[in-house]
Amino acid sequence: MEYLPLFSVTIPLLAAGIMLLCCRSELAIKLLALLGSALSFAASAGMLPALAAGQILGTRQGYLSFPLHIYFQADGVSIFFAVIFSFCFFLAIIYSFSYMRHGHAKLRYYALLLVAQSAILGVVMTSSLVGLFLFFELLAVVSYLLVIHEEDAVAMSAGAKYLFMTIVAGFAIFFGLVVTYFLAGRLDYQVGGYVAASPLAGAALFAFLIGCGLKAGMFPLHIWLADAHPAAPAPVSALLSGCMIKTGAYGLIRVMHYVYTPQAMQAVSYDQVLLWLAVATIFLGSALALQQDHLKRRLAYSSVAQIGYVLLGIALMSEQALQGALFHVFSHALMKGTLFFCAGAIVTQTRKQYVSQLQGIGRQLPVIMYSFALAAVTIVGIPPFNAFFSKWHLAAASLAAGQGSLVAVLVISSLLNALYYFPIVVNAFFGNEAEENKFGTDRLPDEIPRSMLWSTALLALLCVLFAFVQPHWPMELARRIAAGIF
Amino acid sequence: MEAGVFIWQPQAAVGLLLVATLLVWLRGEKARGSSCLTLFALAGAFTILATLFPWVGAGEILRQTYPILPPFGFSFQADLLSVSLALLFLFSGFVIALYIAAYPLKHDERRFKTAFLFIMACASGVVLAGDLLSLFLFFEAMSLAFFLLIIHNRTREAVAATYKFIYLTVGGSMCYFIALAIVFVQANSFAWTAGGFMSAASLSALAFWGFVAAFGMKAGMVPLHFWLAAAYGQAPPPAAALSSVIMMKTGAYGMARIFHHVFGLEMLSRQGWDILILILALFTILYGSFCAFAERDLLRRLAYSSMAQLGYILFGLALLNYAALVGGFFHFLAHGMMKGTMLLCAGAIVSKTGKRKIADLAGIAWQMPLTMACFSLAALTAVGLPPMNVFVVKWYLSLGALSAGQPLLILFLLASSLLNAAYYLPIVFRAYFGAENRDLHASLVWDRLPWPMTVGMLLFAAGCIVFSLGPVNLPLELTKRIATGFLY
Amino acid sequence: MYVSPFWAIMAPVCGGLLIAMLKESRVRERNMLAVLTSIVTFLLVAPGLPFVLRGETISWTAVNITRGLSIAFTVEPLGLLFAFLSSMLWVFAALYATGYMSHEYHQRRFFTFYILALSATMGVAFSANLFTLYLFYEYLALITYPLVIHSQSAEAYAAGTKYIIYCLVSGALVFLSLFILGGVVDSLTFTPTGVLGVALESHGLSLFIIFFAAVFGFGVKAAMMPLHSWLPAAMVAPTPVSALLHAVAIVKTGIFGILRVMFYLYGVDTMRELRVADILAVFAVFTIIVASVLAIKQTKLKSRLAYSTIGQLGYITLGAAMLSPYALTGGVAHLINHAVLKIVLFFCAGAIITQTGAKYLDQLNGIGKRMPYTMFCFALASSGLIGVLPLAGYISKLYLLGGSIESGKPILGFVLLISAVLNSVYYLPIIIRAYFSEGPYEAPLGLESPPSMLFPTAVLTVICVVFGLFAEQTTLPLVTRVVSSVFQ
Repeated sequence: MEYLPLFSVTIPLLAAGIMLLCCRSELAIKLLALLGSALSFAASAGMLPALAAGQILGTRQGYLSFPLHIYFQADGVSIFFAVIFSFCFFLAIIYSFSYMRHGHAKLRYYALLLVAQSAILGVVMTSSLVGLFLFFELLAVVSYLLVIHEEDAVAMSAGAKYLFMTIVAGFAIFFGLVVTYFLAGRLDYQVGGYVAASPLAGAALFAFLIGCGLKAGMFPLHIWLADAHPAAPAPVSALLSGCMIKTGAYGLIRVMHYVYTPQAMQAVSYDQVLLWLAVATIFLGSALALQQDHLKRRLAYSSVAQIGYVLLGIALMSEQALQGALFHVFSHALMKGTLFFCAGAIVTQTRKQYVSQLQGIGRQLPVIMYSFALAAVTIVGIPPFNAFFSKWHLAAASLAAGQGSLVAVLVISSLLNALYYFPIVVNAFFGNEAEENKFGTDRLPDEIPRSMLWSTALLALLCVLFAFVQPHWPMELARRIAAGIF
Repeated sequence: MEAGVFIWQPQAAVGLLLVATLLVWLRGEKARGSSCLTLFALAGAFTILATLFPWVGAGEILRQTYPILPPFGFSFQADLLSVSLALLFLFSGFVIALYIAAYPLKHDERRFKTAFLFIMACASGVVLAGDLLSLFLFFEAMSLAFFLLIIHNRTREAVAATYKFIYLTVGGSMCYFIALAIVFVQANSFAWTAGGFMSAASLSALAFWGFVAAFGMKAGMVPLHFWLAAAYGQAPPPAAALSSVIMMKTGAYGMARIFHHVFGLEMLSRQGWDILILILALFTILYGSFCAFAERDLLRRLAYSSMAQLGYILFGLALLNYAALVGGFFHFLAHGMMKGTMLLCAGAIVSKTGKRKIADLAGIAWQMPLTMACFSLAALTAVGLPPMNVFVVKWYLSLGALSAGQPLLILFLLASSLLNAAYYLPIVFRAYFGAENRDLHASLVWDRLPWPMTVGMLLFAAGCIVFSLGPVNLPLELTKRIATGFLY
Repeated sequence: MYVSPFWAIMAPVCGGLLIAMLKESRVRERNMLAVLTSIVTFLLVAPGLPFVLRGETISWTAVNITRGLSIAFTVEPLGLLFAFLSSMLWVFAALYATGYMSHEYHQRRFFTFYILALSATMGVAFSANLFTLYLFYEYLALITYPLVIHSQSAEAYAAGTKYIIYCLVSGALVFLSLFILGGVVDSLTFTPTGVLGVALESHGLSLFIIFFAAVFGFGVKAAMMPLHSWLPAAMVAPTPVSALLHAVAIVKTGIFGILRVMFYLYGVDTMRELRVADILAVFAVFTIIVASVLAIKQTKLKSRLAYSTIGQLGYITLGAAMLSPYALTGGVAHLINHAVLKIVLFFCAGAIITQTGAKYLDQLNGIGKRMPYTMFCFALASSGLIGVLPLAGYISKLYLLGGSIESGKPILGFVLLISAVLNSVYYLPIIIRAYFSEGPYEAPLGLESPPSMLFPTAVLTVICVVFGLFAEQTTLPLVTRVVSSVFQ
């Protein structure tokens, strides 16, 4: 049991290694990818009982020495994120089977996906900021390679932008790390934090804010996101939006509640700064999404807006807000995963990339567009779908914190969400196809590869499923974690 | 073995290398035999010095003085720093020698290999020397012998680069000379002394800067760096590797000795010299990084990068505290492995394809996958990604900056790292990816390099990461003890 | 009882006369006789070494002419040092000359005067007062005239005329000082603390003026600028003559005379009182810099060496003019070291001329292929002059620099360093040209030059290294004794 954190990280890595060394047939590659990802997911999921029991899983065995050691340990937050992440990866790999049918360099692609899974689990499964940083960097390199998978000019330039910005983020985190280590002599997590307020601590927090904020796509550091997410293959986009930007939020939670004392954050008013940046992120993301005609870019900006919710929840620094934020990580992962899966399916089936081309596509790809609609409804925050709960808690926490205006922000943002998602859905089902966009009978819905279809549909169902299952256990877990912190 | 008891290992090691040098010269152009001889000599010297470890590891300082080389004699000193560095040099030299054994030099192999081994002997001598003059003997011989490698191709540019190098070397020697004379007159001693032996007097500043100029020139410190790019651009890449991995380090080593064992930290900080060195180090880091960024020739880019990296070491030395010193000393290893890998890879590329311009290297990874894999690892190391060596260096240097109360200095390191990323990573990515390379994936071929070259690259590349993989970082522990020994 | 001054002077006279009596055709006998005479002279001088090292001196008046004027000899450190050095080098030079002259005409005349010049040099070295010194000094000038015009070309005659005029002017100046100083004090016997101090009160101004008359009188021979132009002109002489007379014996008699006047007549304290040394130092600095710059402009190998000599002699003068023990140690040591190093260079130049006929620098491209060993010696000796460790030159340079520090004039040290850099500018290109340029030369079939030329060159090169590494055991004790006697 105590080795599960280690296994969840190393199994995909191992699978990727075996794949690179031995596998030459496509089938073997797929199987190995599936197996590695599934086992890792199983290991993560296997830790859920421990979360419920409030245990910390892991060994005291230190690995690597550079010169710091990393320890594989998982507490509630880790497990919560890990389960979401590994599940998304698992589905993304299944989805890729069909998405990548005609793709190139499949071996590299699957191996990198596995390494990325390993890295993202490493981020959450290690018990100190050191491990977080190490796997952040690994993740940055791997996601760069995934972003440029297509190797066309657009992908290359988007990738370069992403890479250099994320390297800068790495440096910022490095700065925060070294200052923290200098101040405290340790970097592990402890509930409530142990680094008190001081000018240096303020500098470090600022650095962490930049570093994690950049990874999360926080305004004004979001500029890489809108290029990188659309450029990547659709499953990777889903993972980037669904999982990878959440690591930034995870990092902030760890820094703010497990390393620094809340007072350290409040002493320099960075919680306020974060709050207003979050608000700006929400508005800006929504506003920019509204302008995009390119579907995946619209989704990418929507991610910016959505991550703003998470940041907002973190910035409020209260139990309920954090609960909302954590739950939004979960719900956004599912719904944005769905949306990108749909976008990918549309592209592979019809080569349509622009919103304006999608009139009537619902008749062509009904299952996909139903999923899309479901996710869109969710993301707008209509009850009883997932995002409603997160927004509910966020709004309640805002009121509790005396920031009633934030409720207005949430409402307006939801409205904007509706403005840029519903037209797509409506057009897809009710729009008249333009003459030049006429879909012939060359592609029938049943031609959609099964793995693509099922993974998309499954993910979409999950968006609503939990509303009808009692108890609402993801929310319950988020509540426990938040309660543990405060 | 107590201090004052006869020690023979340093003499034997250097002597063995010198004798081997002579033998390599006498064997003539029979390449194979002389390569074996070189490797055996380096391994032998390594073994001999390794036997000193029980004593120096216990913190002992062993000295042996001979009554030659007036005015104060010729001495060897074995302490933890010198023995560790000598072992590092010999190991790196072994790897480079292995590489050279198979490297197509085309002509004058005998001269090249003789000069190489001679430089190895002298470099070991530099770190094992026990006083300023003995060090100078080896240092100057080493520097002058290097011109034989720069001029190897005998092109007009090579000759020009040689002249540039030689005149700067001579100029550096002269600076050293006047510094030596001042120490000679004022302190009447040359031997390393813990805490330094120079007292503040009117000309001690001149002496200090004289030494700094001489060593700084070798280490490529601004403003004495300009031989570097020309020399790296013209010398065969293994020679550039020799320079980066070993010779430039002797400059940094000399600085460390000057700071700690000639002038003493107290004097340094009281006179404010440490600040000036720090500023020079920062200039070196930034200037080197910018020049590397602007450079279009692979080897010249590596040259400027070496310069910037040596700036890290100077930075660590200039901060005068424990953490920074650990960082600085560890960079001897970190940079050696990292830049060694890169230069050997560059050598492989140049010798195999004749391509030197970075723009020509697109898609090279599909012709030389192993080479580019090593290069990529080294590039990521250079950027300072964990868990590779350079991260350790940056970590300690940053801690050192914090200990010195200068958190903003970390930004310089980070800026340099960013530039590192900006000038290395594009090479790597263009070698692998890009629209024009998509078709190359299928046509992947193996490197087809002679095995010693491959092994050389792999050894250095492994050195970039292998020490961090275990639960204890042995070289780092050693470095910490060296730094402790220096400061307390 | 050691009474060899007389015999050391007489032995070459006898040898010279014997050579004069041999027929022109009896080459072997003459060669043997020449070498043998030199060896005998050396053996007569050599026993004096332990004698003076024990601190003993002897004086011996041969002829007492009138009050204050006598022909007297003495055996004391400085004189013996000079005698020992000259007679030792003469052995090698004689050997070398036998090889060099084998294809020349008028060998009888040449060797007669060549050996007689040794006698005059011994006389200069052992003379106990200014009058005796003056006597042998003029004698030397006259004897060497036939050697300068040996080739009897128009150029040689012109050079000879120039040479003899300069010598006569020099003699006249010395005679003038002899005349006036003789009136000031009773005796002009050389005493380590000086003899003119007593007249400081009464004849201060004339002492001041005469100092320069005497020093520049000898300075002509020492090629002090602006009185140097005879020396490059006299390079038309056969190379052994250039080597021995113009790089070693004659110019060094000039230096020797300067040292005698400064320290043994005036004395350190008197010079300090008169403040003459600084003015002399200015001339020395001027000489050093200008000569070094002019050397760069020379296109002929021997002219370059000649200008280099002028510069190097400036070092010695400067060492004397700084009036500090360290500086004088350096100066006197340089008297030895420069002699050894420069004679090697001239020997190499001579070997090149006889073997290939190349006189100009641009004819030396690739000559390292034809004469590898000769050029290797050339490389070593020239780096020795630059000051590279562990060759002889570094010791003198270190002490000279130390002297500049000790006397509080580090600017003079910088002059030395600049000159050293300039030295490298005019020597190193020759080496690079010789080994790394393409030239018309092929590898030699047998030995590159006759053993009688190669052997002395090689042995002297070894001595260069020995005098550097083992200076404590060879040159320095004697030098120290000279200096300690002067600075009592």
